[in-house]
Amino acid sequence: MTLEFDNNLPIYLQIMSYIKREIVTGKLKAGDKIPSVRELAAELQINPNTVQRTFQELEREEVVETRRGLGRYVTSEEAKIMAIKKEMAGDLIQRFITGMQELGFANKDIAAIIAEAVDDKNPPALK
Amino acid sequence: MMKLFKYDWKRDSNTIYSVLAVLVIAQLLFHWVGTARGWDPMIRLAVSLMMYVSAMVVMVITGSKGYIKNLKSYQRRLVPIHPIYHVLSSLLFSTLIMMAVFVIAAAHGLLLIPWSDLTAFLELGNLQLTAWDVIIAAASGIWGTFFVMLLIYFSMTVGAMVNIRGKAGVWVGIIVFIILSNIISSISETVFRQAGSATNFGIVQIESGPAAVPDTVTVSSLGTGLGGFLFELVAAVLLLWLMAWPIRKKLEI
Amino acid sequence: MKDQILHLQGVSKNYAGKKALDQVSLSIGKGKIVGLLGTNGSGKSTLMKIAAGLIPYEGSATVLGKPAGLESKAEVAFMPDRPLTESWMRVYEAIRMQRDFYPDFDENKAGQMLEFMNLRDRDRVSTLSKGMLERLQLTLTLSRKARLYLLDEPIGGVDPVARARILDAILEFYDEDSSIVISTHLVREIERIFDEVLFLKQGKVVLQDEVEQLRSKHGKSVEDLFKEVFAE
Repeated sequence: MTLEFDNNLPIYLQIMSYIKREIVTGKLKAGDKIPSVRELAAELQINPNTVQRTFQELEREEVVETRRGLGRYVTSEEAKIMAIKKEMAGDLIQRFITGMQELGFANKDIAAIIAEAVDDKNPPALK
Repeated sequence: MMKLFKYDWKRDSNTIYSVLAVLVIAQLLFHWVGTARGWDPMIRLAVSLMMYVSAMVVMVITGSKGYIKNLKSYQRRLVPIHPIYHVLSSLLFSTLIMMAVFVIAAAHGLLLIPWSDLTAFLELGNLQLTAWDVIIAAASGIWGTFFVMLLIYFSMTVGAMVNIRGKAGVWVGIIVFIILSNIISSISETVFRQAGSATNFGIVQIESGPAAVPDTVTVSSLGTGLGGFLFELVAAVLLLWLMAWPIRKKLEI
Repeated sequence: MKDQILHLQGVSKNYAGKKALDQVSLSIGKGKIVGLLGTNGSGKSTLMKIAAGLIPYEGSATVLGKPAGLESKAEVAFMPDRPLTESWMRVYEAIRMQRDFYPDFDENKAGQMLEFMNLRDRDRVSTLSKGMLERLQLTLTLSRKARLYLLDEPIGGVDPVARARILDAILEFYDEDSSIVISTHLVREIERIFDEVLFLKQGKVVLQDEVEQLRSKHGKSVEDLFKEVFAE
């Protein structure tokens, strides 16, 4: 795992979004076992209590579940994974919109710009 | 304590083995060459004694350096044991390495002198040693060495309280040693009227090497030595108790 | 109070009239990795030596309720900025000496750590590089089952490779029931392994907080805060 942390932000939030991204992009699959606190702490060179906190938060959000005596696993509910995906998409869009608004674009213009950009990216055949 | 001693020993064992080996070889060579060439017995005796004195000095220095190293060593000072064991271990170490020189000197005296032309010179031909004399002599030798080293360590500890790494501490230590050894020997002499107390014995022994063995036999018969010995025993316990306190509560490191 | 490993109340220390520590009060809880941060001469080493029971002090300092000193030494594993080894030794002798002196020394763990650290049993202590010596010091210290580990500048003056290895080892081999205090002035390299940090400036504690708390409160890294606090 490679992960560059930004020391200016709480580390547990960064690990949370990192794990969520791994799940959404399919590197961690539904029902996969995730590393133990110790393993992850050693691997990322992070305080174990920070990793512990990350897992607790992820459990609270039902992204991971603890099976007694076995360890922690990625949730097996596909619906939950979709929800994470949507949540992350929402975050991205929100950040984008905020940025655009700061640049002075009206919501209407933003939508138009997005539509145009998406069109450009698509292969011409689909136009 | 024996574990501390073990590492005191390991640290300096090479030095000690070399000193002892050089001493034995030098004495043997000197004895052999001296006998073969018929050198003046007076000079031979003096040179031989000088060699023993030098070996003793090396041992005193090695032991004392070890003690001060232990006081300065984080590793030693961190060990969760009462500081008195640090002192006792170093004392045991110093006493033993000095006894090693004594033993060589005694063996030298017993094995070589009777067969050499020195016998006549020293007028030892008719000396009769009983086992008891030997035990008394050895015991007071060991005690004397132990006690002198204790005085040295005590003085070093006081010096270290003043300044553990600088020169001031060293000078304070030397002054304390001179004052303390004078006080103790004058008490032993005036109160117990005994010139041959262990303190003096230790010093006499260092200065006179193998010849001291017959010397002491005449001086230290049990009756006269006991008072002085008890006094020194009390002084030793008191000094040890006094030393543990600064090591625990006062010494910076 | 029960979960406190180290507790200092109004601890002061003078060296020849100069105040090295001035009325320091702090507590370190169980299972925490605490960064003791300060510039050179801020009192970090002095504080550690007091907690290790090595030097006299004024005020009250306790480890698991026992006054810091002879009584507390058995609970504390201290890695000082001076060697725990002697120059005549080989690595295995240094390990053996530690085993001889501390009943809580875990030889298996020491073996694993030596391997992890790429140290060889037969290496002479006097020929080890600074980085290797730090690794050995850490092995000697962390292989004990102590309740409080005090590491004085464990990554000071060693190259980045050794640094990473040392941090790995701390995380790999530390024990959740105990606490670790790590003093350093190299904040960036190490701040992510801390639960809490303590800023020590001219012998006084100027800040103690959880690092994640600091990051969310100030939106800044510990390093940036450190630079602010210690700006001259």
